[in-house]
Amino acid sequence: MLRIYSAKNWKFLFHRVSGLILLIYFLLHVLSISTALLFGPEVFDSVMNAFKSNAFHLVEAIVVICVLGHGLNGLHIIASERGWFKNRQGSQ
Amino acid sequence: MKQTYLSGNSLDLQLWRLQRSSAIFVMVLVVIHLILQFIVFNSDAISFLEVSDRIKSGFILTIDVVLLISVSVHGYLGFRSILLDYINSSRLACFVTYTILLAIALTILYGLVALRAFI
Repeated sequence: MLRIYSAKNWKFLFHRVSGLILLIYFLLHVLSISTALLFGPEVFDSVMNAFKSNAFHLVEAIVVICVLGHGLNGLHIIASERGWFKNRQGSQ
Repeated sequence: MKQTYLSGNSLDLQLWRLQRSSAIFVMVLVVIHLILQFIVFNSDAISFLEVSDRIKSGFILTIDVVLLISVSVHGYLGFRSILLDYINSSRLACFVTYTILLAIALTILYGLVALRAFI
């Protein structure tokens, strides 16, 4: 539909890759929490303890970077499609 | 020309609009979610009782439910857009679309079951 980026554009690729990373993280987030709760509060607490590792903090940092990048680029896409940058580009 | 899932029929347009509008909810609610998790409730030992107490307040539950729905819708519909870029068959595109809609419904349902356990 309204695709303003070519596949060669790094922002287009970043948007797709970060979107996929966030979708995978979201699914694992929902699956781990929901499945742990099916087995009771004790299992939930032990799963949460497993998430305290440094490796998981690194995953969280990557997720936060992806959220910020994906969100800001998403805003840029919406603004571009609405023509908010038209005048600025025309004056260059 | 016969309209297909690849040529922009009304369902395609509605799903595209849904993806864009859910993005607004996701952007606002994810920021709130991150602030709550990492700044307000910054706890290294998350326990069932602690989360249960938070969720019972109603405000957190509302945010979590709307976030679950909007992220499911936005994420899966975004994934559908990526898949459709590589699909040339209208039938396959139709199958992918309905599979994605089913996945959205199942993910929301599974997430709601989890949230119910906290109440």
